[in-house]
Amino acid sequence: MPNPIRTIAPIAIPLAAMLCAAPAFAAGPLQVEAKVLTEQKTRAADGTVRVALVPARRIVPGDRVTFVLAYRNTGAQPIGNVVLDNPVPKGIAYRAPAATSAAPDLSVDGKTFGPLASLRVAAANGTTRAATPDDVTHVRWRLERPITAGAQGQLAFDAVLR
Amino acid sequence: MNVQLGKGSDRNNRRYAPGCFVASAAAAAVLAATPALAATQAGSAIANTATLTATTDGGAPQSLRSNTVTLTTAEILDVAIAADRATAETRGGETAAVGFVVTNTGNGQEDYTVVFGSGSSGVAVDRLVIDSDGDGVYTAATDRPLAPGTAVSLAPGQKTRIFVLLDGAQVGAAATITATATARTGSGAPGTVYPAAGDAGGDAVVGATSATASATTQLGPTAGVPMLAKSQSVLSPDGGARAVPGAIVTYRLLASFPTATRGVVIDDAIPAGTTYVAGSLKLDTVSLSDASDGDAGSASASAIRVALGDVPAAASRDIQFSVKIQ
Repeated sequence: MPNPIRTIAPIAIPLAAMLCAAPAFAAGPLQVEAKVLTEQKTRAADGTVRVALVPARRIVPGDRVTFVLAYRNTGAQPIGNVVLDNPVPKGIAYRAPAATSAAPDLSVDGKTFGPLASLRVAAANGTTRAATPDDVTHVRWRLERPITAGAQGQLAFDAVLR
Repeated sequence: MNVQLGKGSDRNNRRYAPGCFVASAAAAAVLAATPALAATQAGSAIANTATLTATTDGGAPQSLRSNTVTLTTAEILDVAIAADRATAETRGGETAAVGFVVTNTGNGQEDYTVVFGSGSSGVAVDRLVIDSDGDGVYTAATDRPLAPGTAVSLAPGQKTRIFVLLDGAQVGAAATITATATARTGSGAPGTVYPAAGDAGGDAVVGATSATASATTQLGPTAGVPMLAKSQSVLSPDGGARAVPGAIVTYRLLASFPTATRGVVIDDAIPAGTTYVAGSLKLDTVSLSDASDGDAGSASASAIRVALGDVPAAASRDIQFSVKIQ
């Protein structure tokens, strides 16, 4: 009578291979481009001053600059839960959302995000104080709706060079 | 002898960076290394990269970094200069040190030429000295000379004091000394651009100060300070001028008063090893009695005293007395 008990060899699962199978997103349908613009004032013949935003070329402390993030969905599927994170570069002080942009969430530590009025920073004497725009270290936008196929948009904040 | 001017210390008005909250440890370390900086230093690269996180239908969250935009901070050319004193007194035969503090109010490492002029009054500048020890007072032993035409190199926010040494005898009644500091990279109308001339090869832009600044100190001979000059002559017993026992030493105290001075009293001690010669005290060649009585003078074994009282301006008084060497 044959032995009813069979020995079953364990099956090795190639975990590493499965993890590597995730598609590379950078080559995917979503594109994001960062730009830094600055105000350029030109005086017209009639004396009016026209202010245009041009790519920043020469900035000195005190200059206002606008950080722009332009995104585009080049694929055929909608893309949801989009979050754009922009750590504020050293030497740059956050000021306000750009005129045409949705207001971002702000953070003074990279962990807690919210409106500026909800943020507090540690003061020298062990207490905390209300955060000011100078304290902002991270800017973040969460898009409420998915980016539909072929759609694009732009988010921006104003800042000043310290 | 040196007249020491400009004792004001800059310790109280040293500039500190405004309090700024820094979350990143790396950024905090950089700021700590340059605590005096308020403005971003010229040549600093400002790099911005955004990260986008999203979910495609049915997929796991994915993240994507944007391109990095890098800007180089241009150099602002600015300068401030302040005279230690609005007015400085000079005295014939003495060197006056007049201090000027040059501050780099720009955001880059910058060389400044400092030129001294005296307008039409013709003050001869003896030499220039850097206040190397930073104590605000000219110290011949430690403060190093600055060759005329040599630039002073200052980091952003840094300041240095330059002393102008003047021969007091050459200073006239209404002389001035003016120091002008100018950024070497360039100066001119605010906003003037010097391409690629700034720190780290960036552009340099003239700031609000036009990158040149002047300060003036009014000079004048010392007024209102009385002077007392003492001289002596010796008559030895043999008729010579050797200071031997028995010789008579006659002291002359010449007091001059540039301005009216009230309640003047002159005291002088009889030197050790000598005895006062009775009846030798004179004021303006008129003998005074040794006793403390009606006249201005009195003398004892230890000292003479002459009470001059109120002395008018531009007056001088001549006091003499004699002692005998024991």
